Amino acid sequence: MGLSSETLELPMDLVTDEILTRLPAKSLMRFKCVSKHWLSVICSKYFSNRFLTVPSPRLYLSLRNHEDKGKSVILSLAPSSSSSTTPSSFVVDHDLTIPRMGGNIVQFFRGFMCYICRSRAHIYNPATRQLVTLPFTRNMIVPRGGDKVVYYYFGHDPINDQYKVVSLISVYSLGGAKVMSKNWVFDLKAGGGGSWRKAALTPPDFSPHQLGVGGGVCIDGVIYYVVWVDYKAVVVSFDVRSEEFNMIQVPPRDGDEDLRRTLNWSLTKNLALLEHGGKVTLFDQTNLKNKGVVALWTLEDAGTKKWSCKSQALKPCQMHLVSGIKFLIRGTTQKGKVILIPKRIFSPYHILCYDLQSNDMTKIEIKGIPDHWFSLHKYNISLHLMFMDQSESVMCWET
Amino acid sequence: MSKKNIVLKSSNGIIFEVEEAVALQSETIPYMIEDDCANDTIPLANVTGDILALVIEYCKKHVVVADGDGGGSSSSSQEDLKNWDAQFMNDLDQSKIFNLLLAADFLNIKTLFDLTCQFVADTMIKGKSVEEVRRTLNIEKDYTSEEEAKARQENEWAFK
Repeated sequence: MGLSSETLELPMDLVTDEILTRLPAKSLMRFKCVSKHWLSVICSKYFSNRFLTVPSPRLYLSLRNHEDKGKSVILSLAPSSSSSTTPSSFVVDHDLTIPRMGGNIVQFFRGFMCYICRSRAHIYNPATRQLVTLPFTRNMIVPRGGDKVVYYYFGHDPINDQYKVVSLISVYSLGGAKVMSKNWVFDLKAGGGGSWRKAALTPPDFSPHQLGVGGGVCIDGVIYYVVWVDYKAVVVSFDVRSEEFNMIQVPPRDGDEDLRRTLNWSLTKNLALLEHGGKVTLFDQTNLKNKGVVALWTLEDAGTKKWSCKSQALKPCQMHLVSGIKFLIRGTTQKGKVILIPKRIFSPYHILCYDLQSNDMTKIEIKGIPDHWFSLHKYNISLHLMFMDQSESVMCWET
Repeated sequence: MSKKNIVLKSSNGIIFEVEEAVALQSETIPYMIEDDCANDTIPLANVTGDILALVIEYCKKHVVVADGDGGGSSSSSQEDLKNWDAQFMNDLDQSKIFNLLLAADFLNIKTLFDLTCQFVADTMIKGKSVEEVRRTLNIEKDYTSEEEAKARQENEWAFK
């Protein structure tokens, strides 16, 4: 260590290990241009695992214009003030729209956003702005008058540090009477490439199923998502490492009979899958907009398939926040608060943040949405939003 | 209660006598005491006097005094300490900051090491241009002009 007062160099390993790791992702993307050595460091797996910035919360808003799909956007929003962990307003500060961008944001996980656009899975890292588009899965024949639904779930195995995407393709005949489904698995590799593999290790009770509830969650290396089997809600679990699938029946709930009788699939939209307190939880908003009541079904033990249920009534003074509004629900914050996203756009737009523990609903204002979105007919817009307060990732997949 | 003092000697021979609690914020010094128990002066061959003075100033400010109940409490509030740290770092020039960072690394004083690294990251690197960073850290450009142009193009958004 030369400690003279002359110009002094810091040892390069100290710079890369201790100083670069403290920079925001955007600076790092710029400093890939400093030298080839820095480029290789910033892109290395070692570095991305050491990267330790404390992220400030961010929102990602996808607005789709059904009349003119080319005008769809993804906007990135930062808190207006950085004082508290759950800010009271967010403002648009970046337009992330690029070709093949926009669509149904289904999952946010470990700094990556998974969305579905034109039936293909896209994995986007907003910190590095890298977009990976997965190839199409093999096709299934759709019976006349029937339909096909393709959906994707994203997960990570912490033991082997491996990312995988699961695809569920379900095909059903007219009226939904006959269902066929296939599951495929895709390994996301640092070297790029890869292809869909047909999922194996399927237990005998694994039945044909169709997409139940949008959005999956990944907890401790297991992906969970909700499907319908014979008009009953079932949670499918997929162990990212062993690739073993399992089905876990959800206990019967009020309204199930209506579902069977009327085949009214809109009823299913009232359910959302969340991680709450480290456990898989179904959030049921069926009675929220009229009665201010939410029901929570928590999977206490995946092994014994045991559930617990609790319902909770909103404080009367907060009823006006939810009255008559249908919400999209996509995930929880790090502190376990549920983000409720009004499905239809209105001005000024806001979302709600629901603290299940203290039973408190707070409003988060959304500022800076370009004006022309409010002049479109609200049914021509679909709106998806993700709240992110997990760590950013600087990991790159070579493509 | 009598307080034990520790004597530290800088690389250029300057002697500092400090309270044990102040010196023991360094995780390196206890090993030096054990290794060299016959001698009560601890030589720090890697740290000059002016830098050691800064380290001691920091450690005196951050020393945790044991209160009557046996628990520990800091002599200043967290907010005061944060403001003090910011002022302390702002008064230093680049050479002192780098030397302080290296001294904190060598003496293994975690909070001072975090403070100096974060300060370098935030004020000397974060908002700077590629050229400024090369200059500050004395990094030789090993890209050809074409390669650099390509790398810039790929990460264009980060330059805005």
